[in-house]
Amino acid sequence: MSTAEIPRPDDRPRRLRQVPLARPDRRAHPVPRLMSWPALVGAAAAGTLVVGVSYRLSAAGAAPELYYGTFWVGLLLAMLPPCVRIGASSGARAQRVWALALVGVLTFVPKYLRNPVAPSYHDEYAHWHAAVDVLSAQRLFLGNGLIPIVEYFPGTAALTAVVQRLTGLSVWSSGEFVVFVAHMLALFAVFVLGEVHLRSARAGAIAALIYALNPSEMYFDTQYAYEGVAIAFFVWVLALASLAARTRGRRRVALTATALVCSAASVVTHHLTTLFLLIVLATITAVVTVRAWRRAPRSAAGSSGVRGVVIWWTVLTGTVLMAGAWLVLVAWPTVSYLSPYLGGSVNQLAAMTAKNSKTGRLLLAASVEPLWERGMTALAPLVAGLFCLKALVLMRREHRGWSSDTLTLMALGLVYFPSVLFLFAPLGAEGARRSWAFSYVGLALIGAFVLQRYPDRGRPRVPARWRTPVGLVVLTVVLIGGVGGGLNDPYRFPGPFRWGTDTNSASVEARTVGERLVAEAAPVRVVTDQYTALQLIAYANLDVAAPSQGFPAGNLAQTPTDPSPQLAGMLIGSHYNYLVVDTRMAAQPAFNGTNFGSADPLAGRATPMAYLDRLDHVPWASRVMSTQHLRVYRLDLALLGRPLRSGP
Amino acid sequence: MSTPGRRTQQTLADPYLVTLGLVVVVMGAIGLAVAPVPVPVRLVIVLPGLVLVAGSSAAALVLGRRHGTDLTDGRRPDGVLRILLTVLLGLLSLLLSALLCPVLRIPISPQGVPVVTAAVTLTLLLLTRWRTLLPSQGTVSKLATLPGWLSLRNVLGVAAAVLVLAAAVAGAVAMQPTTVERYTQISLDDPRVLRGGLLTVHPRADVGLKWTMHSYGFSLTDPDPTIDVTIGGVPAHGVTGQPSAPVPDHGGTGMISRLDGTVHFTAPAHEGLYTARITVTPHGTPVSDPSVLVMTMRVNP
Repeated sequence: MSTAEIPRPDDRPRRLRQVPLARPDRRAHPVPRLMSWPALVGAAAAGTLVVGVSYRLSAAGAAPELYYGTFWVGLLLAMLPPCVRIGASSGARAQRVWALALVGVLTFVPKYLRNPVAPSYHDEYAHWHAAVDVLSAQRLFLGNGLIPIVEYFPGTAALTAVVQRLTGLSVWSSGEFVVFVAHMLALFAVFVLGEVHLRSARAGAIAALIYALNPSEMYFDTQYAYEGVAIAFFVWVLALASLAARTRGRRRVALTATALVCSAASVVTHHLTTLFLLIVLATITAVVTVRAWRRAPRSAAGSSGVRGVVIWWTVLTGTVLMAGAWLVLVAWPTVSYLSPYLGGSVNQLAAMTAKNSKTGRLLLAASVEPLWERGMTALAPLVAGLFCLKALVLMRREHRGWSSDTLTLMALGLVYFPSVLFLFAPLGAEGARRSWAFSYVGLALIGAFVLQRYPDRGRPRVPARWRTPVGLVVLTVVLIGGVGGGLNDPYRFPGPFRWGTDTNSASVEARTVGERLVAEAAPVRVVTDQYTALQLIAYANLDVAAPSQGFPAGNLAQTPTDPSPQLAGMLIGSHYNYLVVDTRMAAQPAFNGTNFGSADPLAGRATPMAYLDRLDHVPWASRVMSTQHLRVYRLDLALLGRPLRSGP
Repeated sequence: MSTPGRRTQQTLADPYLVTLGLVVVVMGAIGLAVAPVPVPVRLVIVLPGLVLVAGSSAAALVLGRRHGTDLTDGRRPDGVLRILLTVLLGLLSLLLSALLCPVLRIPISPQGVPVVTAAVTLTLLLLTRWRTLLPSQGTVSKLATLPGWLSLRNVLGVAAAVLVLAAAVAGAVAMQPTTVERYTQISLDDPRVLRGGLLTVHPRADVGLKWTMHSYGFSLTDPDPTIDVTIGGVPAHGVTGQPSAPVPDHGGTGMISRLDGTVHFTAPAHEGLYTARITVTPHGTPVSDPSVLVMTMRVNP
């Protein structure tokens, strides 16, 4: 089947117009020695070691300028050579595939080096704990103290458990293996998607490379959590459905069925990915249907365009049915879990537009990112915007010749730009960041389209000898800006103990207190700060209170007064019988701003030491265990208000 | 490289023998999975064996056994897509195996998982055998071949690259500093008080409380720590401590040694609620802060 024979899913055959696309790959050009495979692998290895040096520097408390600079020297040394191979105007498909594989490895390495042997990110604790529970209980669908709805999306824990059982690796290593495979699969799914829609291996490889630059790719989606696994299924659904829409015969059915299997895997693995998948599928299906209806008369029902419509409808319908059934029968609590984020962020964004509003958040607040990285973080969306403008200019006269699904996928990439606004809303920032892993699929197609077409159309504005350097500069800006726009410093770099971060506040001290407490006094229900909670839940399986405005359990440590009778009643009724405090919360304000979530009465401030010491002088708390920094109090709130005598 | 109209590189191996060979591979992998085999062996043989057999079978179901053309460009074989689908569908087969365990009421145990995974893999293999090799009308079906670029030279090159990168990653991991946290952990050894009971004593009674101190990151050496007790902020009467000698104890994460002891003191003369504060200060340790326990004590006549 040649390129010209590939039927478009929603065009009448007689109107099929061949859009001029890629120049064919050529193999004749010799590869410079610096770009040879031994050189590429050597540079990747050297870059990896330099990234390791940057982590060592940050762990030792070096100046941010130093370790950030070292990190980017290492990563650029490793990344740029394969990027050149991917983007080269000549070269064999296999060369691009290998180069893309190298990029996939290199975009996984920084996160792997961040915490190679144990969880460190908030969601990692939850998923690691879920996998440990599955293996110890030998069944799925177990409650999770850190992210309750993980219980209803067992895909990640299930895969980890199977890999662990088959290999004997540690639970953590098994999970890292699963995430690595998913990471590579996601990149190559974008490659297939780009190749299908833009019909060139170069375009596919460039699309995958651009996708690898998205802010979530290097740290967020490579953490051990369900999104990093489900995102691979998400992209494969799109790739396989796109393939099926362009294929005839039995393969069409088989590819559609495989797309549905990937949908099912997404459904059982991650709620948000499934939600984005439904949105993307619904949009594509709607556009494909409308365009096919407008173009093709009813008599052309058997045309390839209608067959393409059928494919998208089949995948959408199947996904809706599976997701709906899963939601209703298994994962209904997900609705109440997600609704505050969906509604709250829109409300916050609306409130921010009101005069004198103080509901917003400052970007890069408390950040130690060097100025140059912040600058590139700001530049990255502008570069993406320029690419989109260029794409619009290139496509303005020929969009009728394009497949509807291609155009829709590209248009969905434009969602990236309004989503940036949500970064200013406290509840919306998380959702905005999460959306980029999905909208970047569209941006990747747009970018690949522009890069593929640019040298072919009109008079090139950049001389040939400058194209590679200019391209590398743009790539560097988007890469650094993308990573800079992702997770914050404590997530990206190891460092000395820093109170109030999920990552650098972790201590063996808290972990062993949890282990000891559960060994001595189980069953135990605990009130503690959000950072100590990670250790107590993950390593000791303790039941930790989730403070809220209606259940201000943090007031036990964050106020200079006894708990209110209402709070005492809730604590007694819920059997929260222990309080664990880390005195380091008195040394400095939490990096993340709060110690007890949104209900923290001392948000942005360090807890006065007197508040913590006071607990040694109230009748309702007995310090039954302590270390240099942690104090464990058994609560006896029935003694609230009783007088204490002095002297023996 | 297989292209339309060309029949080069089409393997004429007997598909029945190939299928039988793959069944043997699966059964061997399962045998290794349930046996006490070292992790590297399982990692190299068991997981790839099952994933590749299941994945390649499922990929053959999707793309067909024979090498067709690339789905986007007729000039190339679909080797890349086939390999990608092999990995993707292999991963999905593992997920299916895990999800089938509760359905089949099989525990996710060291024995249960390999059995279910094997069942899934063999089912896919036999489905592929039935769907893509039969009916063969008495002729030997053509089997898929690997793409030309996946030659031995390239495979060795990739293996060398993987080794170099793995060594670099290992080097980068090794250069990270390891932080040893040094601290002591003291806990009350009275299960009744620890679990919620109020310490209740008679006036002027001799009160004895057991405590345990664990050290982390260093070893306790001092058999005679300083022990102080205050009641209501005032030094208690009749305080005596009876610590045992420190002993090595590796019963927890980073735990090095343990020191047990009992402290005795005289209860207050008047009834009421008091706070009793016990301070234990071991000597010769890198930890300077004393270890403190504080409890509410009720004095009843």
